[in-house]
Amino acid sequence: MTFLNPFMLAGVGAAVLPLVVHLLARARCRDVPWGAMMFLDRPSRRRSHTGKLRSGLLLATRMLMVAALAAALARPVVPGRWGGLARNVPVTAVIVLDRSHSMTLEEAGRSRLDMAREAALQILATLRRGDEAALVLLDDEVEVRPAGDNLQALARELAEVTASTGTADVLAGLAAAQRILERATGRARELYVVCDRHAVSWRNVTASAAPVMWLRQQKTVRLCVVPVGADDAENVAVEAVNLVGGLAVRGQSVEVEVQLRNYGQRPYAGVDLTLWASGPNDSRRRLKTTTVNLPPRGTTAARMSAVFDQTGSHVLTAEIKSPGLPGDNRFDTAIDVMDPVQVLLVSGNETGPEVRRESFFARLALAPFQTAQKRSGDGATVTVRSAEEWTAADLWRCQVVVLANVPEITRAQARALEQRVYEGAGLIVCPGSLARPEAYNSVLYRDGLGLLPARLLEPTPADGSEATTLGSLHAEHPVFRFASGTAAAAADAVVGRYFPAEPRADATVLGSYASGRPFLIEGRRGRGRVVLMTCPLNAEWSTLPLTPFYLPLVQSLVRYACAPAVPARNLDIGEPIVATFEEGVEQAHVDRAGERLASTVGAGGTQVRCSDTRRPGIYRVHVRLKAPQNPWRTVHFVVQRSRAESDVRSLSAQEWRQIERATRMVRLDAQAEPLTDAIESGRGGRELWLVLLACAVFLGVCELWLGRLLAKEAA
Amino acid sequence: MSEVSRYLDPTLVEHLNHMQLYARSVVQGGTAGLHRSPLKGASIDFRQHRFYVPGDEPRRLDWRVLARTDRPYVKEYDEETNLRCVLLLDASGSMAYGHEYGTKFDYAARMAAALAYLMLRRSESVGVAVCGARVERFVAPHTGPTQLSCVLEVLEQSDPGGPGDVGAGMHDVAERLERRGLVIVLSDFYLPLDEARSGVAHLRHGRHEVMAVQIADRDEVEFPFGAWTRFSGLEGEPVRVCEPAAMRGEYLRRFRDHQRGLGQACTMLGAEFHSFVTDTPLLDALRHMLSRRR
Repeated sequence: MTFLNPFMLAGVGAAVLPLVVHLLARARCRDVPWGAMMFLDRPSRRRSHTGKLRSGLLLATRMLMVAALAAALARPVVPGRWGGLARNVPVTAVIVLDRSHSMTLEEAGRSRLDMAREAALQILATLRRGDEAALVLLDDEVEVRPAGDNLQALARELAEVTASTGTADVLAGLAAAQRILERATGRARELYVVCDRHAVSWRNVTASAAPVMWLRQQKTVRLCVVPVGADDAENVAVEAVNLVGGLAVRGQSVEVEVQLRNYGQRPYAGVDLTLWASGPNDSRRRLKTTTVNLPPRGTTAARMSAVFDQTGSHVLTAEIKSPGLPGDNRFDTAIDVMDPVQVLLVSGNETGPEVRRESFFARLALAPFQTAQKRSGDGATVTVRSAEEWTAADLWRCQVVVLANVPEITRAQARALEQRVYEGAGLIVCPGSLARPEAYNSVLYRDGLGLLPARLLEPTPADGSEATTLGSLHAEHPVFRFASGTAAAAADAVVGRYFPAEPRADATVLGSYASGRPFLIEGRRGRGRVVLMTCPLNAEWSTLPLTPFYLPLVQSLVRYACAPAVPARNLDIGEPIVATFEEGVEQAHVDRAGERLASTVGAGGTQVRCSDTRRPGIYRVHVRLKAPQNPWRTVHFVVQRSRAESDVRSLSAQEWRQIERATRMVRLDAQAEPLTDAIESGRGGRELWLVLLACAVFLGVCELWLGRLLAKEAA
Repeated sequence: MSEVSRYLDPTLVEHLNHMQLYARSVVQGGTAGLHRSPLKGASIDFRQHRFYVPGDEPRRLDWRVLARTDRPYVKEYDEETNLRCVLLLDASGSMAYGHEYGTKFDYAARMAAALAYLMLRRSESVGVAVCGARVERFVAPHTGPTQLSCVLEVLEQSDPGGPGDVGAGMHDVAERLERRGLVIVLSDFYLPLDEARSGVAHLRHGRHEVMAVQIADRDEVEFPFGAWTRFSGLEGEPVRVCEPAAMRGEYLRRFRDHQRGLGQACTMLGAEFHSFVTDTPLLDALRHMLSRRR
């Protein structure tokens, strides 16, 4: 039993007042010398008992009357079925409804959201006139319908609730419900969480979370969880679509990797996977179709090659046909198909025989068609400059700079390089026999403040006494993603000499020699990437250029170094769209699935921004640049929704128990018992004040009757 | 005279001069008086004719009857004698109760003095007995001008107090009286009914005419107390603390039962019973008593 005005309970103490008055009156009795004592003798036992009983009854009646009055003012609330004796307490009910993506899962022809909606309507049906209800919709964001007594309007609103593509966070819903319930004073407070058994939704509900602690402290708040849907669910999701090389170049075959995950307990074989591409003019074409097999609770990556004929913004879409959530059977990713990468190769050795030059091997690897005097087909356009003749102006026309066996860099050149790298260009440093480590360290490394990600030490001896091979490579890194299954080829390369290096603290070692010394080190400066390869690009010190590993390595390095220059087209929910153009924008608008969204043009008229990215999907930025004869251009952005919802794992029995302990919640099983019965039977918040007031009145009548009876007897 | 005026004020005496107490039954007085005697003697009240037997005085023969019937008959007349009355006054502690109108003892003493005056004025014999636990003072019934002073002196010298037993007093008086007379018992009769009944029966057994006069205070009749009260007994009874409001019904019921039982006992034994409250004017009470005896 709880009390809505507990401080009034102090009034129950006033129940002893009649007793005190009785005792005081007895203590202050008068003395009378009396003659007729024989008539004052103790009455007969029966009469004495009756008289005492009536007097005691009168006293008890008075005390009970005062106590009942005080208790009525304290407004006690009785829980459970005893509450049926009393009048209804006005109820404020908050329904937290999960409408996350997992609620679209269908079971027996009905989605979980349909079941949840039905349960919520049943909860509303248990409320009566004067009760209030609020609705909290769980999605990526929490949407709140404030508490009101128009239950029919709320029911209509419930009927129109649709599932979203977001992720629910029950804790956020509890926090919103807390804010509503804190304002509902003097009323019975009930909180219903209608959701599936999705473990992800409850991930933040811990005993130490503030709303959970509040719920534990509030004894008068009744928390009921109504889980809908079954425990077990199957789901296969497309997790990601990536370009293996990180870059798509017009006319170049690009490998697309599609990652799929089976969240269920059953294996799936022969799942159809289709890869689609949408170009700048939004024409959609099927790139590839294949089938994949998925083990239980396992992942699979499928690779498919594709060629893009047009430069510009594209959307790659991977689709599967599988059970489970329909929303994660498709994955979109926006890519920019580029013209070949502009590579500036600064060579320190352009005087000797061509086959000894680094530029020969690098050009051969990056632009084999160009080397063979063919017009197209290369992924990169290589411009070679000698170490003496390259200028800062050369840097503005390239996306990646390769310093190949450059003896030393002047400070002015270093400053120009730094500026270009900070703006997003890539830098690949490959020192060779002519390179002077101390010059590199003083100009490019600068005790860790320069571009170079590692301090160069003197090269290993020329006698080959410290010759080594390539050892461990960071296979998951985008640079070596090409080497999936072919990494063994790298072991054939013998490295006779190399520059031992001491990596900077914030640098990443992507690969090492068998000796343990770093082979490839990556560092970042500004928006650009810097990669240091500790052996030269030619075959003077190693046999690496002579192995099949060399060509994809160099191409991958260039693509990786170039990647930061490609603007981010794949965003998370809420992340603003920022499309930057080389020319001023004359007209621009943004739309999503045909719906035009608010956008602004800024940054000197070269940038289009749109902040309305709350919903996942494909966003198109249409612009017309000020440059003459520039038609409309379309740039795609994809707002990715969280894949956390794809994991349809349900809460285990132990996790349920933990949550129950943490929140004092009651789980209502709609299948075991009609929901309305379960709510009504467990509903607290029936006030007893009217009953107690009636008792007080009744006791008052009894007191009058007893008093008159005693007075009549006395007369 | 001052002592006399305490219980017998002149206004009352003036009224008493016009009143008379009659005996209801025959009494045996010492001198000729207004009341019938059990003895036959010379008086004007004819009783019966009786056949002459030797030894009867010839002057009592009814000559007319003898002349007509030639049979000797004697005429018999009732003897008239004076009244012998004993006033038994209860001087127990309970008689000391009383506030506004004086104590019950005062009331009873004034009534006794008035009755004594009334009777002595008519040459009746009047005695007085004052009893507490037993008869403490006794003045045998006599007539004469000095008897009133004796009676009043006894009354003056008596004070109520201590335990009382008017039943035992009635027995004592019954033992002391040799000839039939009138015994007037002035008491509150706060004693068990059996004892009261026994005392009256003893007096009646001695062929005395008994008049029981109960004197009570208004408080005792109505029990008007409200708040908690500590009652301490005037005759040494233990203290009783009670809430009068709760006790009142029971008290009044007992009081009335006792009074009713007392009246019934007197009626059954041929005694006269009167009950007066001290706020009743004494003259009214006397008139009421005497009116029933005409």
